[in-house]
Amino acid sequence: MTTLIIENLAIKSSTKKQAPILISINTAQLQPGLCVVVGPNGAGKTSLLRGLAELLPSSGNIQLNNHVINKQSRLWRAQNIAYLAQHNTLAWPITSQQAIDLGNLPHTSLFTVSPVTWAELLDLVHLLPKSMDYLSGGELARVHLARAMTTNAKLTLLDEPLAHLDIRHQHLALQALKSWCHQQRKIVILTLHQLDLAYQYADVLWLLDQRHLVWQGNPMPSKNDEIEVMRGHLNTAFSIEWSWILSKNRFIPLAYAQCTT
Amino acid sequence: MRVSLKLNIILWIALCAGLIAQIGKGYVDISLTQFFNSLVTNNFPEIRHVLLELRIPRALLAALVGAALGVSGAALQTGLQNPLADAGVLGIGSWASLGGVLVLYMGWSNFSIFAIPIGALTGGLFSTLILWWIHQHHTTASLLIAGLALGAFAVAGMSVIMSLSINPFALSELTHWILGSFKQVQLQDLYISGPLLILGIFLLLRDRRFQDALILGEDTAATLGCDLRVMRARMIWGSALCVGGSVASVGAIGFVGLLIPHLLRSLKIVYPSQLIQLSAIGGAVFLVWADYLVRWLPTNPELHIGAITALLGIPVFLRAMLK
Repeated sequence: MTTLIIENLAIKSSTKKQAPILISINTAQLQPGLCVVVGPNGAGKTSLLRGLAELLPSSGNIQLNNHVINKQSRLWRAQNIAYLAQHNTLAWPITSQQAIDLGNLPHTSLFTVSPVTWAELLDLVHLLPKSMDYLSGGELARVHLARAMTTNAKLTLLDEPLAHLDIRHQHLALQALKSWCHQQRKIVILTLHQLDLAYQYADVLWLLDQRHLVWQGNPMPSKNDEIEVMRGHLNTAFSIEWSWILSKNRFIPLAYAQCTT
Repeated sequence: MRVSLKLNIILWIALCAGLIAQIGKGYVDISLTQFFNSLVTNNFPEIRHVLLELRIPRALLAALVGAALGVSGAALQTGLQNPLADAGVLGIGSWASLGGVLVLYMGWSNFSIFAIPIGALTGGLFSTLILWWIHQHHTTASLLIAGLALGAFAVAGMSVIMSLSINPFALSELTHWILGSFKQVQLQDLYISGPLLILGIFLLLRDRRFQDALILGEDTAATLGCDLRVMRARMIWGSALCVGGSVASVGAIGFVGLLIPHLLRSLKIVYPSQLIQLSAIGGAVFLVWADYLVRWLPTNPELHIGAITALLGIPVFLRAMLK
């Protein structure tokens, strides 16, 4: 059973005392499943993922399966926490297969450890022998996603993995991620701008606004007053009046052109 | 994977053949039978002396220097993410030469046989650190231009030092330091440079698996388990050891580290781990055969090997730059 516990977390841009806090979380806990982080630009989504990946200094307590992550070795973190950056660079034109295989680097075994072939799940098989120079933006994004997932980590952090994908591949990727983390009992945290997708797939939704975690929970609260609280936070955070569409027993937020400010 | 295995086999065979050919070639050609006879029995003391004191050290040093320069070129290119990086182009070799020349003309070389290698190593390390700083703060293009400028500065510095010294052979020695030559290699050079080169090659080969992760950028590499600070230190020290160790014995031989990785890349070897490993063995093959060529050509005195590598390397440099 994988659990992630966050207490009194403050992520900073540097180790200096006066450095501004980029994102703070009082308390949060995750069980295996898909956690979608939403929020307006500059809310601190990327900083949160970078802090959890130990790319930014943080104070407070982050525990993965009762291991305090910043006390673990570099190798332990590489094996247990996978990270996909929002912008990915490629220094040399390697093939898709080689790029995906880099996900195995933290594991000392020569053979792939992932029980799932992400190339198949993400519709990449025909691209494997191709040099990444010749791929489109969406294809590149899927290769990078497959690389991050191949690490088979307990906690996977994905920063806008769907940004360049077409709508079919967005659903394909989210379905694959969701069934993977339920079957393998893993935690996936991803940031997303499409709230309609977030409400269709998220097990847990984190709403970030002005460098704070302002609301967290199941995106389909059962009680009416909880629904009202959630909707209020969403309206404030995005400065927009969300309309709610009932589709297949789910309320999906939809934004019309009617900014409140 | 299969291409790199094939290349490895071909290159190892070429290296063995080159070493045998090189040991036989010289003022007196030595046949294979003479070679084994003289080493096993004591019947040919002169040939045995020539082999053990001159020929074998020269061949082995050519292989080691080639491997060191090849691997340092490949490691600098992957580490700085710049396909044009090379100890010669970036002036690291010239700075190592300057260090060696400084030690020689200050008379410090009388204190210890290690004085010149230490001077060369310091010069190489100094310029590598400057280049790293430039790499951190400026663009790719300015790194190359700065490297060329630094190299020219070191050559000018050497010529000034030599003009100030009272030495009738200064000019020919300057050519030795700038262009490099295996002409004067003795057993002692192998003892001094060998360990430096082996250590440098080891440091650069060590990280090659994690160099692969750097393809995806520093952040992703860090989350895949790379210790970037340690890797950076190993790259800088490894390159300085490789270049300084070579320069201390045979002067600055340029463009090996540019030529070999570029040829390998044109054979579709782009994965850093494969490129770095194959550049080591490829560099050894190249320099062993280039040194054979220098002695086979009927010139008197024999050509400087750095002239050959530059003549072959600069067109490749231009091709890679203009692509």
